[in-house]
Amino acid sequence: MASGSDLPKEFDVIVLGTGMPESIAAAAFSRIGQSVLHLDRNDHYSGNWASFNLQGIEKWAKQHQDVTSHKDDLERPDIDESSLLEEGETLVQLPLGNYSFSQTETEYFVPEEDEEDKKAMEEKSAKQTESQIETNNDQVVDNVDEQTKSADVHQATDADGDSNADMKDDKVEKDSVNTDGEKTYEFSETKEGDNGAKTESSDAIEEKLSGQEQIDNDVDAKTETIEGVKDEQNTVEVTENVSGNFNTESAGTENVVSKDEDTVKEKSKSWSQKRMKSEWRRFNMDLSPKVLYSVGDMVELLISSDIAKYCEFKTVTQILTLMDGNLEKVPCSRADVFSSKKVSMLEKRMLMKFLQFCLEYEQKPEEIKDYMDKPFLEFLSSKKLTPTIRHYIQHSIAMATDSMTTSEGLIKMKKFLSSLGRYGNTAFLWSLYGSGELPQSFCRMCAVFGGVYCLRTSVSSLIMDSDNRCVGIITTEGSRIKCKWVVMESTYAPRNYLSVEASEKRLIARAILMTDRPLFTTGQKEQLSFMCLPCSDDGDRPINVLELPPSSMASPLGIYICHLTRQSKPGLKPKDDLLYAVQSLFTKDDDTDVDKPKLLWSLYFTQEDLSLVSPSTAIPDNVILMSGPGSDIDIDSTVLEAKEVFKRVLPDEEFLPKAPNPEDIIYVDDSEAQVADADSQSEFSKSDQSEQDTAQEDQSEQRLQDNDQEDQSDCRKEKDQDCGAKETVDISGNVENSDANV
Amino acid sequence: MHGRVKVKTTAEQQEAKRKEREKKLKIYTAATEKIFEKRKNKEYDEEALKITGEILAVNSDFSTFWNYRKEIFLNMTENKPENEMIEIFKGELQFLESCLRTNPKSYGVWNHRCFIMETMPKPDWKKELELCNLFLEYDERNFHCWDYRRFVVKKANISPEEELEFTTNKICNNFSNFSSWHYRSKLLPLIYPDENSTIGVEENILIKEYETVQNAFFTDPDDQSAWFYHRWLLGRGKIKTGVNCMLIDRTYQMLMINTTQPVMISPSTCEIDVLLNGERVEGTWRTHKQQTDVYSSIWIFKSTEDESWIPMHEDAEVAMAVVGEDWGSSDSVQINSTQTVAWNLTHEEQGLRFRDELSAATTDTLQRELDSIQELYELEPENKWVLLTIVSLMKALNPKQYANDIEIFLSKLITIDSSRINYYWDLRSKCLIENYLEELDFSTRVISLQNQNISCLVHPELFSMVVKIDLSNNKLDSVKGFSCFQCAVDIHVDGNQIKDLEELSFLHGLKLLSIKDNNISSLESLQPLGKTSILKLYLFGNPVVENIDELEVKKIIPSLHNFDGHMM
Repeated sequence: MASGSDLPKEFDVIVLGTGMPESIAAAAFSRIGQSVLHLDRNDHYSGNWASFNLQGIEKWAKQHQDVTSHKDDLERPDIDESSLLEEGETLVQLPLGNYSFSQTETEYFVPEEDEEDKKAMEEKSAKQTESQIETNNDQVVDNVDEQTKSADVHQATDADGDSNADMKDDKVEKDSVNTDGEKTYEFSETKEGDNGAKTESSDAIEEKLSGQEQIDNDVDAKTETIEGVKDEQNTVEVTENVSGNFNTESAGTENVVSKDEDTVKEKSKSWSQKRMKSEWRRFNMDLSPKVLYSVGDMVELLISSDIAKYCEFKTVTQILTLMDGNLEKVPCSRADVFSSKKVSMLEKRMLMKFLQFCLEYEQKPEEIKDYMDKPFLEFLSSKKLTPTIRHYIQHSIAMATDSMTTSEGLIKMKKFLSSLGRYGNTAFLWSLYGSGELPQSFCRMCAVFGGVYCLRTSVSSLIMDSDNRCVGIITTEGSRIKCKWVVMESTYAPRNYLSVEASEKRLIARAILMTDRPLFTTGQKEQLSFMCLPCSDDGDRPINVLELPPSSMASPLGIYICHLTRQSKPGLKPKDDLLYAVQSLFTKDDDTDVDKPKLLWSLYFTQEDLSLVSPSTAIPDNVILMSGPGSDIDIDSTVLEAKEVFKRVLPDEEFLPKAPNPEDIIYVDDSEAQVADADSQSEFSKSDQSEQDTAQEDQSEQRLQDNDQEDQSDCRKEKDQDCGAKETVDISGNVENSDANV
Repeated sequence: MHGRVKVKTTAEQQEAKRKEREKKLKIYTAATEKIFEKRKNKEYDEEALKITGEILAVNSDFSTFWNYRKEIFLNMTENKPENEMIEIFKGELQFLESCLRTNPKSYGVWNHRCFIMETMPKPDWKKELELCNLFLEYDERNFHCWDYRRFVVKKANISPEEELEFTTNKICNNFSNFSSWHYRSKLLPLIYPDENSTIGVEENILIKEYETVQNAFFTDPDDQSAWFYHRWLLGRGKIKTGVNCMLIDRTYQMLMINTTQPVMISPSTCEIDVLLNGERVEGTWRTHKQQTDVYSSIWIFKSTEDESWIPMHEDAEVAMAVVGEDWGSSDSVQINSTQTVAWNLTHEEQGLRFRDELSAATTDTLQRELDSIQELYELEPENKWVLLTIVSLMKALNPKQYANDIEIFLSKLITIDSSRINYYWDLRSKCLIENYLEELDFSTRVISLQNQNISCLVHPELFSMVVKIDLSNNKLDSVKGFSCFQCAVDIHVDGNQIKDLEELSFLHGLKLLSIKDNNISSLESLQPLGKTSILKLYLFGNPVVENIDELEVKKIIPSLHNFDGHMM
């Protein structure tokens, strides 16, 4: 973090907005040595892609009740900007507010306070003095526990956890990566900070914390690497990670689950607003929830660039569908189809056969050539599938709209199917702690390679030379900074930079719902569910439903977060547009329909679909606009977009090559050394041990090959086998240093 | 370029790596030498544990070190108090687990774990089961872990029901898992025993299993694990040992028996007394290939006391009595004064002789399975597993009735699965020959199977009393099994692809061999015939016949009178 006034006077690229595509681009520029200044007008990272805790999102909702109701916009510097101009230069003023959200509406469906709260109050006041002492202890313990963390970082994470409160006082965080390498922790440690650096008091917290630790352990225990799925050698690494906990915890996967279950049962009795609010930090609610295709551009980029080491994932565990008013799990993987009781044996074959066909449709042009431009639904009809199978394929696997063509449908089918089985039984991954984590991972990579970050800072004006080239900017702090390129999210751009057609707004209806129980569950495991819900009023606008359980770090135990997303139209209220889903899936009453999850809280809003950007001819050559979130369920398009931007600026450079191993970096001057030191401390705490690991890998590789031969009959379909029950997915392939007994 | 992070070049990296390796190798070698020294000196101390541990952690397949470690533990157990030992044992278990993390398929580690668990006081078996769960979660097909699991289950008295549940879950996660299916096949007979069903499992449970496995192969008909389990469910009938045929021959003064499955007749396994008119005859049993101490379906008895133990020109009865085993019947054969040969055939029920392979399952089951797999065939007409299973089911149900279908399905298999062509040809031959034998009146002592494209001879032991055999115009490429033709006089195998005559040397009664148009390419191939008393040989149309010298042939086969129609 840099304060506006300390900033260098010149950068290669200035990036506005810390949303997904901008962050990827920023990381790519920084990674190959371009100097990058990355600004965001918000007090949080990820812009329109951000995830908020409960307090954060309620405050955000207040600000966006109306397109114009912003009280929080940045202000222009109180200087005469034209005094900073040189001869022949002109100013282009940029808008400072964000008007892409509107019609927010929050509502609680639980009493403010209940008996339980009152009881707790009494107990609490009795223990008041005690708990204050414990607060202090807590902090001491935290510092000890999180060995690598300095007090400095602690503070920073605290600020991040409670962004609204703290950031106002201290508008911009003070350190830049260049001057203080340690600050590069900031992104990665945020999560731990959130869990560990509690400032709340009372014994309840201690309880929660220990509960949390168990979940964390569980998460660790299941940590998996992407390579681990690909080949056996790394399955071994997985093994290492897992048994590390096994020793201390008697391998109690089931134990942990059952403990969770107990708590869930206990908590699902009732909630009060007070108790929900008291756990505000445990919520991570997305403005734009996005899943990742397991075999998709984003996942591949995370792996190839090694940015995956900054993120954690959970697989979406089930795809649901509503059939004849009942929720069902859609069998999409081989294992699901096998164990499904909903389809007959012949249907199983039919389904598998069609899925197999879709994976290889390009090799069978004769079967599809007559349908490619016709509706996908027509193609499905020609395949003589039973109604159930057709429903599964159309709505849950292809997620086909009425007007979708066969070629589009087949592309979607193939993408879904080729992603199956890489990490789990569905095609998708979910980023732990919310989609808002992903842009931050890229920002971190950018910062590691010298990118400079300022939140709550934006560009007041662009400085144009006489050839209508942007030569620099004036920040909202009033500094003039030279630059070669400006990359901005389209909402940062002045209106005349966008073409007229684009001004016709495309809208998205959104709802974030909290419920007391999952939509559909079988057995003990917590499910992370996705559903594409077709709506009879408009076959081209289904509602996408994403349900996040507590273990995805979206909510405290006992609360489930459900995201509804639907393409909308001007004039429609999100609440009305999403009514069908809310009515069919949830209930507001305590007594009726006990099977359905009960709503505890809801937030509706309208979001502008910013996924298509069409710049006008007025835009300078060296200013590039980037998209915001749209209604897509995934984020692969942002990768392609960032790649294109990068190629346009630096056609001959490699896009996000793998970050070098810290041990291989040759330090030239002090500032660089600090950067690298900090990094190696956090990721590779004991360098000599990681060397040992390499040695072990060498050995085990060979042995595993031998074993492979012994084991040939068992070798089929390696791809499927690893994923089954794994809870969390760490796709980076980072090996935790195991406590090797050497 | 400005601002870039400088990275070591690959050459530098490689050099660093090489040095590192060299260093490690030195340490490794030194440690290894030290351990061998210590073991020689019988030093069973902590230091030895430490050093072997360090080596085994990086190379867990070093069996000698594991053995040394076992010695150390046995030694320590004698010399240290129990509570101290418990801690050491616990430490060892942890160490083993870390080894498994790096190499979950090391024989040495799993083996040592068994040893530790069995040696340590108060072992915690439940915890071991959890370990198995965990490792089978990473790799549900790690057979080392499945083995260890069975060991643990036995020790921990885990109920087979729980284990069955476990396999069900594993199969639900990924049914492509031979280990799970196999484990099921071992557990089901324990949980739902049923003496009457041939695989020992209750019928209603079996029906559920059929359903499960059908789900699997309807989901993925290419996965062979499900088909294998299906095959197990259909069962493998047990054949009762008995005698198919008993034959006495005055000319050769022998008693030949042909058993329903290979047996070994020897003092150590199974003895058979031979009684002539009620009197025990001393003698020896040899197989048709003059062997002893082997398993065979054909055994020949000759007396050691009297070369002509079967009296000429008078009625006699030869009986055999099995000592120590129950063959279900005590057979005998009568011969009257005018006969040179007499036999006693055990009459198999029509159509049942060859159904033993799948006969375990009931007809209803077989029919039901056939129907549902034929449904699958409609959808997957090109799947070899589907076709093959249909063939086996048809064969088990009614080979005669389905003969045509079987022929069609097998020829389809031959076209779609070219790498197993010979298997299918052989299977086809089996069906043909079995159908033929079912109908055969053995007492005619003639077998005629011409123009059938037979590729191999199955059940040759059933040909043992046949005198005249015609297998002309088939696809035989050897005379494998022909040694069973103990009574053969005439053999016609024209128009095959036979390359050698090895087994014919055992046919003492052979008089005529017609082997025209085959693949005999050298005179040496005729050698086995020299041991017979063959009179006529038809060799025309074999490569060897070009430039053949009849005198040479005569030299090899002195008894020969007629060669390719020429008197010699």
